Amino acid sequence: MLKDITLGQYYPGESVIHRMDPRFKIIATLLYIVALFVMVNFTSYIFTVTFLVVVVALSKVPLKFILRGMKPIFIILILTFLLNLFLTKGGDNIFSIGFLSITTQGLRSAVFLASRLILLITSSSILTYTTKPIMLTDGIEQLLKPFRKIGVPAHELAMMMSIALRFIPTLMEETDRIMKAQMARGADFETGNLIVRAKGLVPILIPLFIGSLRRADELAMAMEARCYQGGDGRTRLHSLKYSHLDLIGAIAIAALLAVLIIQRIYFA
Amino acid sequence: MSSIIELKNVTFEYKSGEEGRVVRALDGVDLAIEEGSFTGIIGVNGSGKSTLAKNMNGLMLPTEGEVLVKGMNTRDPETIWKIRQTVGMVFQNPDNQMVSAIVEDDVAFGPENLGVEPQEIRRRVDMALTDVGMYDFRKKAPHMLSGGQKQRVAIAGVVAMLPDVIVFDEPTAMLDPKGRREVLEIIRKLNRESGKTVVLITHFMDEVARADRVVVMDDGRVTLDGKPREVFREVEQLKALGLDVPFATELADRLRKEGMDIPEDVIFMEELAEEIGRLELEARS
Amino acid sequence: MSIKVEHLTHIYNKGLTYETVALDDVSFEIETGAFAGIIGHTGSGKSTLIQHFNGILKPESGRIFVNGTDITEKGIKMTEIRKRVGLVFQYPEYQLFEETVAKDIAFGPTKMGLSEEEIDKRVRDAMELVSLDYDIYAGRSPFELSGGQKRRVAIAGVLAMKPEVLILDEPTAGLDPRAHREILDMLEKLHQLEGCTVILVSHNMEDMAEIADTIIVMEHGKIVLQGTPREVYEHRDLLMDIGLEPPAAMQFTRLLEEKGIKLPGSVMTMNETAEAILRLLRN
Repeated sequence: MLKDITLGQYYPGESVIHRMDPRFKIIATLLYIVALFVMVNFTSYIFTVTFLVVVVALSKVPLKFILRGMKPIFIILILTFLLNLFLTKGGDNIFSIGFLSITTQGLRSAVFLASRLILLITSSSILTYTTKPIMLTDGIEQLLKPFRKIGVPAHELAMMMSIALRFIPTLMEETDRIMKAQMARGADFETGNLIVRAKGLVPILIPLFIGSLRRADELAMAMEARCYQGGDGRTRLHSLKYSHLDLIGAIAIAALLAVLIIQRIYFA
Repeated sequence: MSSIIELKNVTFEYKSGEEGRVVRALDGVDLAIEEGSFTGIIGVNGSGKSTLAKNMNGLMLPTEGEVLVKGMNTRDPETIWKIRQTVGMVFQNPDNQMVSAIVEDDVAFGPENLGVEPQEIRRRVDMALTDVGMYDFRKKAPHMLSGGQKQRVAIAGVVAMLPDVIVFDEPTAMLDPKGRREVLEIIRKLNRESGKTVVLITHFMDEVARADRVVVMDDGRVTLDGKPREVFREVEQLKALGLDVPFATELADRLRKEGMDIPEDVIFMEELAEEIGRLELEARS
Repeated sequence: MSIKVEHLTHIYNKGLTYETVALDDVSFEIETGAFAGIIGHTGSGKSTLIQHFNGILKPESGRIFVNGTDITEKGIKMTEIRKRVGLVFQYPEYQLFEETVAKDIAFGPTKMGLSEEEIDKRVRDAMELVSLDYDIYAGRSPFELSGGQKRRVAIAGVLAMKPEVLILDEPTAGLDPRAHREILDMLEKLHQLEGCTVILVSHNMEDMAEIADTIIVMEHGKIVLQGTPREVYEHRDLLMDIGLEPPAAMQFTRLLEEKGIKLPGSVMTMNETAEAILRLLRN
């Protein structure tokens, strides 16, 4: 089941979007999210949607893959839609049963909010689909570097993230093995009420926790043996470089923002 | 030949458990590792061999005594990083010594820490991965590799730091026979072709039968030390320590006890086969 | 208790691009009271195979009979099967979780719903089987023990369920020669005293020659050889091809043969080799 989650995964490729600098992609994604909150009317929607459609097309990530990533948040999406649909009042009444009623304002707000959510998730998943996790951490480290003076531990954060990325598959395997081993000893994770099931997790969580501590200990020792002494004086194999692709991207996202701001000032 | 690592009367103690009982893991060890040599260290679990290894590059500091690496004292904070660059270390569990989710980035980790220029890191990473035969896997994720392959990547990560000595702390304990063979072959190659001083800690006797020297640890002390032939002839003593001896040594020992005239220092099957051939000829004539 | 497998196929990640066939049409039978060995490299499918014997993995196709009962059929209670088929995973010490050794060993029996006295008796019996003194170790934390001891506690945890078939996946991996020997001796004792069917997964050919009475060799999800150790080890070249070395004793007799010395009979162990050589030289 865990394998079905594509959200946050990397989709290998060589597209123009893949080749952009991770730092630019992170900033562009943040700007796009800002854009989603700047838009006010239907025209703005056309611009933001078109922009994303073009990006998705350029990234060559299959639509199927993106839709599959949407699955885990499907329920949240439906819930947001319904809540807005029924609870926002204003405008004309379209439909009502009992105490529930749908108004034009409600419908409008529900559609806008749900589509905003879809755009938000699609845009941020395009970032992770087209950027290797390790590049993403590098990008974050570089972007946070200027804030080190005010105490942001940029290197440490990035190192923690990359170690986490490295160990997620290992810990998943270990969880699987411990679970099977306890099942072989008669543990049952599938029946019983919530409390029984939560208690049933103890034989998995404790070995997993102890195992992680042991791993952390050994890893720390191995890192020290390889002369790790924090971020100072460290060089990198891959250095990040902006290319003309990033410039084109920057112009595009700036243009989108400009259009949306104009819309907001003159047409809202 | 000169010594590259010198342990002088090294004692290492640590506190164990809730009661804080003091455990003496190393007890007055004197040992000098010669430059360019292949030294095997054997002993059962808890004999102190792993603690000994970690004292060789300052991951642990002796409670008493000194450890010198190329004359640098591991107690000196000024030279500790130079020492760790000089004495690289490969550990038992291949999973718990990999930092990065991509093979080549993991190999680059050491050189990056040393502040090596990116171009030079690239060169070293490619060289080290080629040395261990893992160049084609450079873009792979470690969890997609077999145990033996992971261990080879770990070795590349150390090789890329250009150490003079590599200490292997039970590198094959968790591998299957194929993985074991792959890793051993690389260790031998590093010693013979690249001239690295190798210290191999293991409890597989056949892995050290061709070493220059075998050191046997028991209860924090060195109990036997010499050429493999000299050490393995002490069959009784090794067995009493809970260790094995190579197949040929043990078989020769049995035959000798039955009154057969076989030399005491046989360690390879080929030698024993020769001896038996000789005895058979004698028996026939 | 016997285990019979018919046309067993298992596929990981079916339908995905990285789908792998872990077991490919595997059939064999292990008889009641046998000491069976399964040999193969990492990734040969041996671990996947044994996880089918107590229903932890479900086959893609094929049938598995435990004592004549088809456990792939609907409505079979797996918890019942798991009481009778005990499975010790690789590095089982990493599954320990209780505060004391006794409590950890009691986990399985408690899940079986046994009485307090029965659980206590089983914990004591299991600890005796793995040679851990109850008075010394029962109240200790399993995390304070040595590697070999931890492993014996974990094995005792499965033994306490009194399985009729005991399956162990690489139970000696990573242990030093002494601890390795202790585990093997324990298995032999178990097999003889308790009369349970033992299935040992290992890549140690020496151990198999000494201890197993039937061997299955796996490669790429298929059975490539099957029979008594003597029969299987005859196929020296095939074994070498898949990267498995025959036991040292057989390598040695091969060396002798190259020198024109033929030992009487076929040998697999150190003892047999010594005797055969003595016989040859004394005649």
